[in-house]
Amino acid sequence: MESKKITKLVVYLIFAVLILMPLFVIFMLAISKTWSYPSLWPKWVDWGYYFRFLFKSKEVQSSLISSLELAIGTVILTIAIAYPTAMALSYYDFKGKKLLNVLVYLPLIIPSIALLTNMDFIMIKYGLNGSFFGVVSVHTLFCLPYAVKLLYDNLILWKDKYEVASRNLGASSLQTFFKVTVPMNKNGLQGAVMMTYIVSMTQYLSTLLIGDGNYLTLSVRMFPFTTSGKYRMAAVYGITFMLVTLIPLYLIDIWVTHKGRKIA
Amino acid sequence: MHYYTDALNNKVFLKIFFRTFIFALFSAVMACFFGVVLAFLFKKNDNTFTKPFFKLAQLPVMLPHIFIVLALLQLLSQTGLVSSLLTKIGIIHSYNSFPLLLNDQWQIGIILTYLWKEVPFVIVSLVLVLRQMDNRYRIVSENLGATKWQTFWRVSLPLLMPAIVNAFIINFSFNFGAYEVLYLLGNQTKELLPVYIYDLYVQGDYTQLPMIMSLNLILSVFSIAFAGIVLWLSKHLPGGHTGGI
Amino acid sequence: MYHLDNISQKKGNTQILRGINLNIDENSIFAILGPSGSGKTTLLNILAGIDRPTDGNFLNEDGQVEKGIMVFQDYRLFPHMTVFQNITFGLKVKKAKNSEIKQRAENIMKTMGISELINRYPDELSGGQQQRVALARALILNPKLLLMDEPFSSLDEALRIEMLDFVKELQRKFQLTIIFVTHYKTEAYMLSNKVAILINGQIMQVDAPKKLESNPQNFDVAKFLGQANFIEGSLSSDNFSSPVYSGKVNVVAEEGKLYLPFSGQLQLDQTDYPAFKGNVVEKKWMGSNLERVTIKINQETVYCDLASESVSENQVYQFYFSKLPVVF
Repeated sequence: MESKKITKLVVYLIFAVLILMPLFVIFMLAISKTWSYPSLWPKWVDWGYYFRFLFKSKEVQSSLISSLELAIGTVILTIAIAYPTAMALSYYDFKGKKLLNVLVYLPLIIPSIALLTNMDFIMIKYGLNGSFFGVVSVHTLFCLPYAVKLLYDNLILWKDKYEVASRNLGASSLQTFFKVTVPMNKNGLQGAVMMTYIVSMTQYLSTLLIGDGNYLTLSVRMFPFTTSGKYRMAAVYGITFMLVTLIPLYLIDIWVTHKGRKIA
Repeated sequence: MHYYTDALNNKVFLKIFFRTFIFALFSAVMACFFGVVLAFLFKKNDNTFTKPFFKLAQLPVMLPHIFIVLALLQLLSQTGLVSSLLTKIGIIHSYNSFPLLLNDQWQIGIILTYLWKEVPFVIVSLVLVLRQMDNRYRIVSENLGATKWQTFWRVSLPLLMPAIVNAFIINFSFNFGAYEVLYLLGNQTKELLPVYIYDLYVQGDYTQLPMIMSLNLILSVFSIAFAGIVLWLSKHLPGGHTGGI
Repeated sequence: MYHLDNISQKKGNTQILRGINLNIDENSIFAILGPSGSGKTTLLNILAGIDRPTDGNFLNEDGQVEKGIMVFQDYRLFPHMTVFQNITFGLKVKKAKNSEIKQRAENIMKTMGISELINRYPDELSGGQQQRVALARALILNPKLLLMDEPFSSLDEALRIEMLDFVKELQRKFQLTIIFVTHYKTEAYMLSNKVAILINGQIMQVDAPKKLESNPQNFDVAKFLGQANFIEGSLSSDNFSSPVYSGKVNVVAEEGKLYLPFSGQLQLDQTDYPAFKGNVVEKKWMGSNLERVTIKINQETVYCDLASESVSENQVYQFYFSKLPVVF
């Protein structure tokens, strides 16, 4: 029994190091100067450097805004499409249900390079390349599978049992949706929103290609700095990325799990 | 139409295609293997490590690939931190004797990047199913006389199979078609498909376009067919019926 | 004889089972009856070797630990296996010979009447069929001790009675010891001649059904078994006074509640224990020659089961106790 626990502890520690080491390296890169071969530790470390840079640099700020704009637009568009789709898939039987089910997952299965070059070609054809809507709709394409899946798994738990009860008691469809469907399935909605936000924030090639360089988001800007060896600058964008993804998501998670009773 | 036959007769394309397929398959299988092992190791709810373990596993899922690429560059390149450490303690004399792990022929850097992202992804997608299953069927199996191993192979693993297959397909398709990591850590002599297509698309003129479109279509059809075959196999091999668990 | 020797179970800070002592005859059906939350399933899990008790032992005649094979309340057929694979699971993991497995599976499926379901999956079976498969999966192992958790609770009425008889027949055929838990007393009474009442983690009484109904050992048992009037009143030594009845009683506990079971205690034929004069206000048919009669005495309502047509509505009758009534 004891040796089993020790094995687990060792595996856990290795796993933790493998996951956290890269993040630690990026964190150190962002606050240090001249950290190169053969020194094991940066020559000097300046804790304030990152924040001074963050507040001074117009580029970091503008790419932060681009990232958030696209992410919020993508969340809205994705949920607007995914919610009805997930409801249809979980509540009703209809012709073409199987096909719809497959279609939703296609963006994850088709090689993204093929999908993107074709989408870019189509966007150019319709003059949508470089536009906000163009980029958001491509992001949405990659977010839909996750959003639909997360919402579906939650909705299928009760199907439309409670909606039927609500409408039977005299609520309108809209009232039923906002007072019964959404509150009962808030776990699924939370998951879908979070996942969509993350997927949109992490997009690189779709943002660059479809956006024609108009949307230099945080993850897009990390690329040229990385390829040209300016790791410190790349790390600064990386830390900013973590600030606006991990911290809010973590807070939402705590807030939701501690607020109110859990259903199921 | 002749674009399709051209593509299928194109030796370079076929070679790259085959290389990419093996590479994507290998990375996805590795990710699923480690993910399943780890998920099982930490699935029990009474385990002290379980909660922090799953919180940790969520981290890589939330970060873009460029994160791990950047860290790998700082850690594993010939002038990286590991190389520095080995020089310090005298195992190697200079960075020249540190093996080439990034932009190498064997795509080690890319595989490491994918594993860092995908092993946690597999874990996260299995957690939910594992929680739902809790101990129900394990208890039955052990009451009927099965050992722990028999229970794992005959009951737990088959019940988890649909979730594993889904994660595998998603990982494989990503590995097969994603561009950005290959662009950062790829090796020019061992080019992989996404880079090949991207270069054709960006550098080529409009006369090349039909050719690229037909390549895209071939790749898409192939990916969908591959996913379909994997799904079909997982459903029709013994133990494939799970009754919606 | 199986011996449950002072079995206790504690989970966290809750004491689920408190020193359970029971002797269970081999080759019989034994029922454990109790309300939900009384610790029935916990006890059964201990007998199945699924859980370990914090204290005490479960031993067979030879003083050895023996685990029973369990049929779960929700059957828990493996969803990814066919009926055949489910049934043969226990033999497969014991590495029995294929020819033997096939032979035994054929026999048990014939006994259970499920031969034609062999290649179906659990989600393609009805509740009754699932139960038969679950029973077959356990019985193929030739267990000496079979455990059943609420075996009939999810079946509809007609099927329940059919399965009750079927399980009795199986017990005789396989010479099994069956221990089952339930919260339906009719189920327990129909299946077993010896019923243990488990309330709040304690065995309150072990008796034959008739004895339980006529002589519950305490208020908790009486209340759980239900089908009785509890009349509030006051007690001074062995004299009870209430609007319904005042007079001598048999005091078991001093909570001051007169226990009048619906059947067996009240009658019209004269005895040495006159009860009360009451007005019959309603009669309800209870099947097979019985009527449940609603009686009003000084604004109080008392129910009792009498033979059909022995009273008529809106008439006053003198009632008698068959024996000295009990006060808890």
